[in-house]
Order: sequence, then C-alpha cells, then structure tokens
Amino acid sequence: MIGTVHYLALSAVLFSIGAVGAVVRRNVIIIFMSIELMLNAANLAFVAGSNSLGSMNGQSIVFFVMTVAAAEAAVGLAVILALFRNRQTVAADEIALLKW
Amino acid sequence: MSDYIPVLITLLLGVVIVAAMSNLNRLLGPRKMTAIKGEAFECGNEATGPGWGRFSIKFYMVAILFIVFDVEVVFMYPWAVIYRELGVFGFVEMAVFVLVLAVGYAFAWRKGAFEWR
Amino acid sequence: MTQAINSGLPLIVACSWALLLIVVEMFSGDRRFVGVAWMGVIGLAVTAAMSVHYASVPAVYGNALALDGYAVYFNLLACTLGAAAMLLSIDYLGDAGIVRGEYYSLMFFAVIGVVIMAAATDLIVMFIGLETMSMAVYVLAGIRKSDLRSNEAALKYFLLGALASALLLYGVALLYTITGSTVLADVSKALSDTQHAGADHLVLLLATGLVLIGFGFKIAAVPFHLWAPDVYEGAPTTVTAFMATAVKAGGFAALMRTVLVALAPMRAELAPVLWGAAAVTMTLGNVVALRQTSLKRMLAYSSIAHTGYLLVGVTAGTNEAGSSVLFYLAAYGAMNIGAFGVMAALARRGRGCEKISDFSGLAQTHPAMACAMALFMLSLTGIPPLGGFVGKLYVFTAAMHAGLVWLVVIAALNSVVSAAYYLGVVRTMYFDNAPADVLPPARPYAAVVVAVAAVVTILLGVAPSPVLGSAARAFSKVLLG
Repeated sequence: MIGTVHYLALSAVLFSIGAVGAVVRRNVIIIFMSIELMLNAANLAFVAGSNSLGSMNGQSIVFFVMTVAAAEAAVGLAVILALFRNRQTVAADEIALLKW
Repeated sequence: MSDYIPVLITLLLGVVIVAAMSNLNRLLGPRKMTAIKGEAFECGNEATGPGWGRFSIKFYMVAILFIVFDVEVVFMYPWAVIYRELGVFGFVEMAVFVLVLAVGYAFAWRKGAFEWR
Repeated sequence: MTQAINSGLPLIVACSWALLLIVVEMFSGDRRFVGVAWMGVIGLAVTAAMSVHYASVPAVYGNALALDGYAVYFNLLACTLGAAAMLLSIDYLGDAGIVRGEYYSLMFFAVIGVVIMAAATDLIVMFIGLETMSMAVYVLAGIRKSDLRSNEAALKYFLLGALASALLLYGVALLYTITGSTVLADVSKALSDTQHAGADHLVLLLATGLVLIGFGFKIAAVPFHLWAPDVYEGAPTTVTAFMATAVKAGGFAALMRTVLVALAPMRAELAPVLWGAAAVTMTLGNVVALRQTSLKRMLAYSSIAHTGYLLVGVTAGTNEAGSSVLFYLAAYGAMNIGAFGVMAALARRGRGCEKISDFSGLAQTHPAMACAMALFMLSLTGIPPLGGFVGKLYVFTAAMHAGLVWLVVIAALNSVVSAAYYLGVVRTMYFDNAPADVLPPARPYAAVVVAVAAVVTILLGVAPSPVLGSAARAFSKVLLG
C-alpha cells in the first residue's frame, strides 16, 4: 500500500535532485529549473500532508506556491534575459565581474 | 497476482519486438558508408547550421508573459466550481483580482512587451 | 468581520496605492518621475498612519495575519526607510541613466512585502510576504539594464534568493506534515504537546534547519552571506540603501516571529546553532570588512557584522532582547540609510563615488557631508552618545541577562575591531588631501535625507526612551505564554 511516507520520500528525492542540480550545474537556466523542482517537491509534501491530515489547507497552499513559482520564473527569466543581452552567455562561471 | 500475468507478457513482447526491430537491420543489412549517409538527418532537408541552435530571444519575452498570465487561472478554477455558493462576495473578489491582472496587462502593453522586436 | 477588514485595511490600501502608482507612471510625461516618487512617499505615509490607527492585537483571517504592536512597529520602520530610499532616488536615478518609473512602485511593493512578513502569523503568509519583497528587490537590483554589474548583481541575488526560498518552503512543508498546521501558534503548540522521537525528531530537526537556512540567506548570516557584498556593490546605491535596511528589517521580523514563537519548543536545539551563527557572522563580517577598498563592499561586510550583533539578541530570545533588537534595527536603519545616502548624494555618472579613496579630503570640499558621514561611521562603530551605541548597549545587556556572557565578549571584541575600518573612512575624509577633481555638490533631496538620518541617529542616542518604549510595547505581546 502506498502511504504518506512514500509520497514524502518521493518529495525528498525530488528535493535532493533539485538541490544537487542547483549546486553542481553551471547553466543558470538549469540552476533555475532545479530550484523550481525544489519548490514542486515542497508542493508534493504539502499535498501529501494535506491528504494524511484530512485538511484542505495543504492543497490550497499549493495554489499560492504555484503562483509564487510562476512569478519567480517570470522575474528570473527577465533577469537572465537582461544579462544575456549584454553578455551572450548563460554559464554561471563566466559571470564573475563581481567576485563571488 | 495472476491478473498481472497478461500485462507481464505484453511487456515482454514489447521489449523483445522493439529490440529485434532495432537490431535486425544491423544483422541483415549491407553496410556501405558514404558521405551522404554520415550527415545528420534533418527530415530529408539538407542539414545547415550548428547542432545547438539557439532560439531567438524574442520567444523568451512571450514565455515570460505567458507564465505570468497563465498561472493566474489556477485561482479561477476553484472559484468557478463554488461560484454559486460564494455569491456576490465571490464575484466582487474575482473582479478585483481580474482588475489587478488588467493593470499588469496594460503595463505590459504600454511598455511595448507585445511588440515583436 | 469588521475587525478582519480593519486589520487588513492598511495592506489593502497599500496594495491599491502601489497599483495606482503603476498606472500613474504609465502615463507620466515627466522623465524624472518626481511626482511618482512623491506619490509613493505619500502612500507610504498613509499606510503607516493607517496601520497605527487600525492596530489591534488579535490575529485575523484564520490566524494568518495580526496587525499587532510588532507589525505596526515594523510597518512604521519599513515605510520610513522606504520613503527615505525613494527620496534619495529622485535625482540619483536620472543621473545613473535609469529612466524607469516602475522603480517606485517596485520599491512600494517591497515595503508591502516587509509589512506582510512582520504582520504574518502564518508561515505561508510570511513566505508570500518574503517573496513579494524579494521579487521586487531582484528587479530593483537589476534595474540598470544596460549595466553589466547591475545585471550580475540581480542574477546572483535572484539565484541565491530563489534557492533560499525553496529551502525555506520545504522546511515549512515538513513542519506542516509534522504539526498539521502552518499557523505559528499552532505549530508551537503541536511541537510542545507531542514528544517527537526517532525519525520524526530527525525530520523536525531537518525542517527547522531548512527554515533557518532560508532566513539566514535573507539576512545574510554566515555561511549564507556570499551574495551580499556582490549584490550590494552591483545594485544602484539607492537600492543598496534599501536592501541593507528595510529588507534586513523584514528578514529579522520574520525570523524572530518564527524562531521565538513557532519554534520556541525547539529552543534547546536552536540555541547553540544561533549562538554559533551570531559569533561567526559578526567575526567574519568585521575581519573581511577590514580589507575592503570599496566603501560599498565595506558597508556590505559591515551589514553582515551587524546581522551578527542582531543575532545575539535573537539568540537571547527574551522580551528584553527582542525589544532591543527592534530598537537596534531602527538605529541601524537610520545610520545605514545615512551612509548610503551620502554616497548617493555625491555620485555622478562616470564619476564613481564608491571607493573609500574617493572620499579623501571630503571635509575640505563638503564639510557638512563629511561631518554626517563621520557621524554615521562613529554610530556604526558604537561610540556614545549615538544611536548605534545605545542599540548595541541594550542588545548586549539583554544577552548578558540571558546568560550569554561569552557571546557578548566576542561581540564587544568585534566592535573594537570594527572601529579600525569605520574610523579609517573618517581619517580619509579629514586627514587626506582632496584630489584635483573634487566631487560635485550634494544633491538637494539626498542632502535632506542625510540630514534627517543624522538627526535621528543623534536623537536615538541622546533620547532613546520613546523609541525604546514603543519597541518594548511592540514586542511585549509577541512571545507566547
């Protein structure tokens, strides 16, 4: 039987993949995709929790998180776009005018 | 458990057929390498340009606008489902929400975000 | 119902005002956007006044939001800092080649985000406030679209900020699955009612850690401070002034409510972590600041060091410590807005005013500006009788009372070290010779803001009791039980 623990385990796996991706990848768009994956892992945890607790709160939270993620995507793409127009690159290690 | 045996058989058949199809050619067919054959296959057209093509930056602009206005619909589905229960209050709330979106739309329009340039 | 509407009214009005600002800006013919800026300032004043008028303790909207004393205090602080940053920007923007009226509505939205973070009594509402603030500031940091450093600052801030938000959100999601709620008080109750052992306890620790890391990024605590110097340096100076003060205040508003209310039952586990973070943050901030030649970067590391001092108060976690952190944030806001204000007042396109050496001999060419800058530097060091001194005194005293003797010793030593670089700026201004091409005269709006910030810094040092009293009242109802 697939229970809450399995959903949470899946969400933990997704979160870890996202976290590793965000740290090791160098293309900023892929880093950003990894971060979105982490947000969706949190969404899965919210839905799983909502299901096991029998409350709708977790599911409605997901709507808000989705909106936040979309807004973040829009802002992020715009920021990357502005940089690309000036630099013609999306590789994180080439963007080092200001030292990290 | 026995219910799943047909599924298992189908699955096995699928794997075997696909494996056979993709490898029979290698076993039976003659092998003559020519320059034409070595080229990348691009739907019968002559391959031009580098393999890693970039999309024009203009598409990103469209993508950004699409994301912003597309996701707002998630709030409309639950609202529409219980629209009758919410009554006037729900209608006014959604009207306010749409008004806020409209300001954003007007802003994008005014700033020329919809122009293809 | 009425109370719910009343508590939400300041926020509703603020959001409508920010939208109106967008509409006005769209049809504004003035390329300097002076009218838009003033409209923003007036809107912030209205928001602040309304929050004072409608202040009430109980939480509304299903315990999601409370316009209590704490929220009102941060509301006033954020609105004041936002208004100061807007006034600083009026002449600065045009000169820096930023012809964008949406600058002011973005700053307004960032202030709204801070206000939501302070008023939120639910972790998800807090998250939404955090995102509202952050997203506006990501764009503000990169608003100089053609400038590579501005682009880069925005990108770094965005990537690390988004990563921090994701970590924070996952922590909240785990807390939700464990406690069944995202309301701060309910989370606290669930945590103290049930003993979590074994795997549950591990998940709880993980969730707490993720939430702490998320906020740690936002307030630039070591080891999550790496973005701060780059972003502070690359962003336009007026935006940096806003980030260093209002955004930091928002981060602390949310962090304190979360740590001291929702995670109060985890105190035993959290205390050593906070202790270590405070000690490392202030030490690293101060030591690295010593080596900076850019004033903007130096102030960035100084702001990291001040995060450490503020964390001392959070570690103590008592009523006394909480209210002194609130006071410190006000004093810190005044002196930092002032210091960045001096930079914004003198900066001209193509004539950078960001290196410490740019200020050499400032006392001869701009005596008033040099005097104000010296005042802010002395206050940042913590020299009496200025606001920074009183803030530090109260935070450290409260920490002593909470038994954190060693942490206070480290903090005091750090203050001594910090004197070296703050006083270095004063020395450059007063004892070095002015270069041949002197800096241009200070801009009028910015000069006024700097003057007000200087007066506030002195007042907070000489007569701290009104602000201290309101900080104490604001914090008195925050802690549970």
